[in-house]
Amino acid sequence: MSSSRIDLKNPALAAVLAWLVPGLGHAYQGRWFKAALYSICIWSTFGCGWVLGDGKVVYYNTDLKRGRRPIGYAAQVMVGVASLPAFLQTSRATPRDEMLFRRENISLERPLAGEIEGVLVNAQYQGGHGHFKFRGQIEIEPSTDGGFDARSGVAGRLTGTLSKIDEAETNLPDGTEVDLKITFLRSLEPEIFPSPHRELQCDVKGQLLGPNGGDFEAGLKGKILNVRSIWNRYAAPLDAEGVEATHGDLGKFFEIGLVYTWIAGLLNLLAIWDAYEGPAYGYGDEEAPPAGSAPPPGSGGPGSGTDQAIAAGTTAPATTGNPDLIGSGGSSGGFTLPPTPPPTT
Amino acid sequence: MFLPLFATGFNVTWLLLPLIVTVSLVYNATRYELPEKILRRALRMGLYIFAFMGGSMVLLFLFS
Repeated sequence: MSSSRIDLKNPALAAVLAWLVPGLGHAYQGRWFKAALYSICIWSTFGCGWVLGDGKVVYYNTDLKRGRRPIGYAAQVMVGVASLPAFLQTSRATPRDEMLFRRENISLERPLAGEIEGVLVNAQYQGGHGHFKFRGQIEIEPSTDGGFDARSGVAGRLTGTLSKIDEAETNLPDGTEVDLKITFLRSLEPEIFPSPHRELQCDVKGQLLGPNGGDFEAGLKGKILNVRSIWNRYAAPLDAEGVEATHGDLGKFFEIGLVYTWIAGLLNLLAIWDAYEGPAYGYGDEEAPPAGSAPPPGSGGPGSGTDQAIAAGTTAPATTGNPDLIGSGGSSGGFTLPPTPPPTT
Repeated sequence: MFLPLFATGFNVTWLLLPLIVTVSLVYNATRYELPEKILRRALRMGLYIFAFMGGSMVLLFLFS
């Protein structure tokens, strides 16, 4: 039983395309309205979730040490190309047989340079001490000779200006320039991480420049701005510390972002099935048969002829799934009701 | 990256609305093929969901 009203072409291929790119499977079948509808609805839901979660909601693992996996990824993966990179990023971030995806394992792959902003804490300098905001430039590179500290294996230099956090705390004017070197790198975010900025903590030592010149020493907690490429941050795994920090930064929006991406994936699951099987209830313009009349041949779906035939105790027409479809390779097989036995008196 | 709008006292209940719209549209698109039928049924389903959620909210508010 088929009709030429909906041409599913190759349903399996359409389903795969619909999974990979929401809307593409229906576009392949020439069902343009549905292609646009699914594409807009699913991509926008997924995109909203991604924005609400600050780009950190699509990831495959959270804590390799304990072997945890986010179950929500099972829903996200239904959006295909949008979430599949998480597999790749997880393998990039965690080499086999190594537990490198921990912030304590400082690993600087290549020289890093850029703008940095942060806070200098417990600063000691000639004539005072205090805490300062810092903004400037940083250059760090893997140390070839053990650097300033062989343990961190990183050498680096920072130049920039200070501004006061507490006006009464220090006599250094805002805009005081400093030239500092990293003496000890305490932590550095992994290279593969879902944020454009890369956080670091280190101890620094150097000179105040200008009229207030003198030695300067402090601890720095900051982030190098916009230093990660999209390749190194899209769908990258969050470690436990990252999840905690993201919760702190975003609050409930992190959870809402997750839920949005999950819903997008689950909606695409419905769309995939539609690409494979066609609409569940039919084309949508079937006339409801008048009460008590025989059902039209092949009218499937709830409340349609088959149901009425069952109710009337008559034989339902054999059907091979939705009557409006052709090429419906995955249709469930039809059935025929047994003849109704004659009434006994 | 993070929208400042959401960081400042934005009522997250509004975020339900786009979900109602997309869920209604996608669900009904999987039921039918005709655009008019899909849109009509989606509108009806969206209103049902909105009424149900709104009613639940009012009930919870009264109980609280």
